[in-house]
Amino acid sequence: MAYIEVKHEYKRYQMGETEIIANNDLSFTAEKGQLTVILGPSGAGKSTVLNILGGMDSPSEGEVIIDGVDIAKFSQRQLTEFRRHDIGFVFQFYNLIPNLTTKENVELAASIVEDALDATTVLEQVGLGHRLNNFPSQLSGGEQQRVALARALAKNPKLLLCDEPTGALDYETGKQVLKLLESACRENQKTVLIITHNAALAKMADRVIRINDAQVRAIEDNPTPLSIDAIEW
Amino acid sequence: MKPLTKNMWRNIAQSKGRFIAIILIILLGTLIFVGVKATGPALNTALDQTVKKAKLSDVQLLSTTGFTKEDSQVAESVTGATAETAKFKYALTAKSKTVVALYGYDATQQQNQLILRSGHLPKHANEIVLDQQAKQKYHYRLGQTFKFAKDAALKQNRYKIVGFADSPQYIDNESRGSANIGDGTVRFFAYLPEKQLNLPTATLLNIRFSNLQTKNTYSKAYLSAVNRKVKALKKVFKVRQKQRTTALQNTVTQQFTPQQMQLTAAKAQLTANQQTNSTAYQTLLAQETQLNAAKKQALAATKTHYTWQTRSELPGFEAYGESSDRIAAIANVFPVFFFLIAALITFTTITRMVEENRSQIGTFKALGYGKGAIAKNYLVYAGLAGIIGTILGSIIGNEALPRIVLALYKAYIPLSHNITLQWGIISIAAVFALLATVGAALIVVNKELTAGPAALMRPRSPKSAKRILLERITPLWRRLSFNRKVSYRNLFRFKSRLFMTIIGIAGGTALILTGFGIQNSIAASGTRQYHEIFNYQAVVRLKNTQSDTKAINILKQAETYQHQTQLATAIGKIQANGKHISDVNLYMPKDTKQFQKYTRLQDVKTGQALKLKNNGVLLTQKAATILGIQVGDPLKLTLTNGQKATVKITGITTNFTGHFIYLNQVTYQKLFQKKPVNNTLLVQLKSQTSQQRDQLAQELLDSGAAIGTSYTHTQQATMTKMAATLDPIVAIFILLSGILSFVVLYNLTNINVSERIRELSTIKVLGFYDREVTLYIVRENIVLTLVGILVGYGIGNLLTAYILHQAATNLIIFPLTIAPIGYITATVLMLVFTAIVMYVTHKKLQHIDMIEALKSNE
Repeated sequence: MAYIEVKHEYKRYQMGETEIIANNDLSFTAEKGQLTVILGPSGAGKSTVLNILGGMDSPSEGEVIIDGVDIAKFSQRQLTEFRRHDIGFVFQFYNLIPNLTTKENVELAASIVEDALDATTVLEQVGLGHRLNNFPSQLSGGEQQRVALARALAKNPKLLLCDEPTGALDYETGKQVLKLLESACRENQKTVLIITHNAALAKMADRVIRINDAQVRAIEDNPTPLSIDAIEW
Repeated sequence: MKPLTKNMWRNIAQSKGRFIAIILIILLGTLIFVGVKATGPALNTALDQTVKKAKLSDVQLLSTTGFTKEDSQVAESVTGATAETAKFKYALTAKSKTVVALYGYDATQQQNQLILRSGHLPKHANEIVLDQQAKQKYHYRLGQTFKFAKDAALKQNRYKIVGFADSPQYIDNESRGSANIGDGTVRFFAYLPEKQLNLPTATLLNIRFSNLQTKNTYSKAYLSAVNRKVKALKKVFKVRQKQRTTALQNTVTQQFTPQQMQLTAAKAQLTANQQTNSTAYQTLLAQETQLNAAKKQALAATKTHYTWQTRSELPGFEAYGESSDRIAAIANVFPVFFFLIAALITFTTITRMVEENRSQIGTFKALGYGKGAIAKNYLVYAGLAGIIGTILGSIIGNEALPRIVLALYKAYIPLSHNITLQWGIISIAAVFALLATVGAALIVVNKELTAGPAALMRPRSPKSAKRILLERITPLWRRLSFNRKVSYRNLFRFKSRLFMTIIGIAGGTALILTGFGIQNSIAASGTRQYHEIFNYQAVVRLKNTQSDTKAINILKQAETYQHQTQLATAIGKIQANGKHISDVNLYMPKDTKQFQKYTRLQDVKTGQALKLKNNGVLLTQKAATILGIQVGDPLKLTLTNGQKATVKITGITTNFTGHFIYLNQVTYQKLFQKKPVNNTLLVQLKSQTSQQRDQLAQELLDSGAAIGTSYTHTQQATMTKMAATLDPIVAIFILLSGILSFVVLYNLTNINVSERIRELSTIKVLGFYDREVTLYIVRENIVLTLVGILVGYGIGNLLTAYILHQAATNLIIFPLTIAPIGYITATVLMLVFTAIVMYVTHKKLQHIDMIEALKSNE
């Protein structure tokens, strides 16, 4: 059985008079320890599915089975617990706490889980060992995103979810971040899900799920993913 | 409607909560500011109108020889005066021997009209109208028969009660003045048809000045005007006094002349007959002596002496003025402080609103809208909230607060009130409200508008975080838990909110504490005077030096009697540094050692016991403050008989009400070359019922040994009552202060949440439990609330001390006292508010849309 299994998932929003269907009967799977890319233009409903996978939102209908457990019917409390122990998030806009130093931002996440990794070690891994006591406002965008990544990794999550992680970064720094994600998957066997509209990234994934207009259009397995260094766009 | 204006209205509709919050804060601020400011004048006006409607006399004159029509004419020779004679005397009731102030009713009389509460005014000879208080306290009813004692010397002894009324002469329900019969305390007044009083002439002359009626009876203008009138009246009555005396003397002489002539004739006849040794001649001589004595007595009775009385001498009149002055004094501090907090909070809220709209302002600018057009929206928004708040607050405050206070003024007769809008005060409130709203918007919008549109549309560069001082104390910082570190750093990051919250909480705490403080301190003045300083329960004024044994014997028969000590008392005037105080009590104990058990003489600064020395006097603290003198300074002392002396002050004693000078009898003798008269007994009694008190006083008076007895209980009750008149206003203060603190705390927490919504969403996404998310932000509130409460204790004490200083009269010191209940109430209220706000925040945070907050780039 697959590590992540989404079956006939629907998400509907009521916006005043009109009903908006963000996810219309989505079904796909993702494997443990693999890098999966969800590809699609903006407004396709890919963020919605990521939010549901990350326990930030619940589907209107369908099953979302992660590691054998259906989180679709979870209560708020269960969802919080799920996020706390099993999920690491990386956002487009970093979302660091401005008032905490680099190290403290990582500690903030580490402080709530039991098998957390050491904040300093993780920051050294992402190449920020020399920036431990800086505040976010003193860091560049790429550095900030690496702190965000360290924060997600420090929790030692089962699943790493990234929503347009390079969206606000330039080409080079974007690549650096992707490189780190790649190594988290290849070297530390993390299950990584990346959402992007950048089709070039499809080449680095084990599996690509193409979403458009709220529906899954194609699922492609890639037996020989390229290293990020080999991809240009 | 232009799109920009439309946008403004939709803004208001969308942020209803904030719009209403601003209105509410401004409303509260103006309500208490305008309301309390209006209450003082409203109280004065209410009484003024009530007494004017009933045509209360400006001056009343009592004469030992009565008044005639001529007296009225003399009085009316002063410009504006209308004079009326009236009959008045004191009488006792049949059974209980209660003292009644009895007035003759004459339907044609214009002044001092009765305010009828039930029944009708007397129509027939056998009808009587009683004081409303006779109904309330002594349970007389309409239709009952009212009986006077036989020696009341009225036409009849029984009258039918046909009505109950209030009188403008007696505004204070508790006080009817004193008399020289019965137990000395007048219990109520009554009106009988004039002829029923059996008085040959009128005993009272009521004078009213038409040209004084435009002035408020408590205004300085009225007081000085009435004093000028009294001076003018005294001038004309000096002449009248002689005329009246001479006229009466002539009548007396005429009365005695026939008898005298008869006697002289009879004497002459006997002398002519050389019968000067006969018994008949002796009888004649005896008759002559008798006749002369009678004539002398009759002539003595013709000596006219006047007693002057203005409105301020009426029972309760002055005290009422003082209580409204006191509210006015409070109004200068309390509401101003309250309003200031409200203004500060409004300022913060508006600032936040404009800052939130940064990118929108940028968009408008980019579209090419001018500064003015953009700024107008925010100014109108702020102005609208400010104006609505001010209007509502002013109306509610001005109309409701004085009415509530008046309605709660149970100690006084029902006053007619016609409350006028205090435009001056409302304008001040409006100016400050607009400063806080439009002013704030102006400053912030102006600041934002100077930035270019591109800069505005970019997110505001985050406030650079800094290491806080606490971190430098590494051993302490290291000991703190991770969450605490975060809280403390956040606390100091948002300094303005830190101060705002502390000011809000401290302000609320201080205001609540002040409410209690005013009440406690005023009551403490009486409690401490009559429990700590005076350790006796009654003062008996003896008729003469020989009557002490008689009085002591009567006292000893009383069940409640314990001990007594004798002393000499006198009244004098003291002067120093060009200032003077009249009516100071001189106490000269017969036995100084024993006296110390009755009055605590302690140094005001050190609290050490003071002794009466041979070369000086002890002076009470308030008198020393007024005169500005210290230990060792000389003090000029003038007795009522005009004797003067200068004496050194050897100590200043703790005292809360009244002015006293304590000296031993040796010093007195040295100063005035005569022995003081031991004319007073201080008596220690066990606790008594009011009936026992009245009975003892009456027995002493009836025996002829005493001319009066006063109880400390009565005086303390008066003081307690004085404190109670402030109860309604204090209750209103406490209530509104509570609401204000709540609104402040709620508002600031809301701003805090909205400013940090991203941060909160992030930690929520990270998997913090709801409780942890709430605590993440509320922990700061708890710290700030605790600090605020402590700061509030300090400010509360300062504020109370300042108000007490303002409210103190020449006679009274209010010792700063805030009972633990005040601290407890303030603290508990603040903690409850924090808890409620915490709960509301908790609920709110549970439902924040974390996805939405994290998506946007702001």
